[in-house]
Amino acid sequence: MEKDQLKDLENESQELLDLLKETRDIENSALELPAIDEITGNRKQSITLHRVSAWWVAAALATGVIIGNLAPRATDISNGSDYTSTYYADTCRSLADGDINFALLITHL
Amino acid sequence: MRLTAEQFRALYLEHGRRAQGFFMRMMGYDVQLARDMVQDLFTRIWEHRDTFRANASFTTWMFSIAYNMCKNEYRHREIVQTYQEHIINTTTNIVSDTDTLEQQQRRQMLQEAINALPDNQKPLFLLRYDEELTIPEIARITMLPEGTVKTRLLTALKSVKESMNKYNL
Repeated sequence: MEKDQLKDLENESQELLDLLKETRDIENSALELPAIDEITGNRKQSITLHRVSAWWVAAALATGVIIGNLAPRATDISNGSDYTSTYYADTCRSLADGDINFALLITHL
Repeated sequence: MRLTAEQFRALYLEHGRRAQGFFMRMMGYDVQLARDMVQDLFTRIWEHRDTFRANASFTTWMFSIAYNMCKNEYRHREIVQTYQEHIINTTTNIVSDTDTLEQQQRRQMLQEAINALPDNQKPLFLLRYDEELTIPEIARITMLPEGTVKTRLLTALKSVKESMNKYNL
C-alpha cells in the first residue's frame, strides 16, 4: 500500500525530482575535493614519524654502548669533577654488558 | 580483500565528490564542514580498507559510514538553528551561470524545503532522490525496516512537493 503510494507520488513528482538531480549535479561540480595525499598522506606521515623515533632511540643506544666500551671504568668517584663522565661511562658499560638496569637508565636519561 | 592504493584512489575520484555533496546538503550547505567530513570519511575508509569485502557494494559501505558521521554531527551541532545563515551565505556559490532568476529561485526554494525536513527524513530523502539508492540499500545503511523507510520517504516527498507547489512542480 505504502509502496504503491510512494511509487505513485514519485511518478507524479518527476519534474521535481529532475530539478533535484540537476541541482545536485551543479552543486557537486562546484565542489573542491580535498587532495588524495591529504588523506593517505596523514597515515604515511604517522608511520614515518614512528620510524624516525625508533631510529633515534636505536642510534642513541648504539652510541651509548660504543662510548661505554671506550671509556675507562669508573672505580673512584671521590674526584668530584670526574663524577659526571665516570657515571655516564658506567651507565653505558652496563648497557654494553647487557646488564640493563632500567632505574639507572631512567635516572641517567 | 584489502583495497590497494590504486583501487582506493580510483574509488575516491569516482565517489569523493558525491559524498562531499551529500555531506554538504546534510549539513545545511556548510561547504567547509562538508570538505572536512569527506576527508574524514575517506581517511576512515583508507584505515579500514582491510574490512572491505570485494563482493559488497562500495556505495552502500561508504554511505553507511557517511550516514553515521552525519548522525554524530547532528548530535553535536544545532544545525537547524544555523541553517538560515548558511543558506543565505552559500546559495550564490552553487547556482549555475546559465540559470534564469526563476530557476535560481526554484533551486533555492528546493534547498530550503529539503533543509526543513526533520532529521529522521532528510537523510532518507537525500539517499533516495539525490544519491538514487534503492529502498533495500537505504534500509541497510540506516538499519531501519524497509516499511519505515517507505513511510518516511512518502511523508518527506509530500512535504517537499507542497513547498514547491508555487512552481507547479
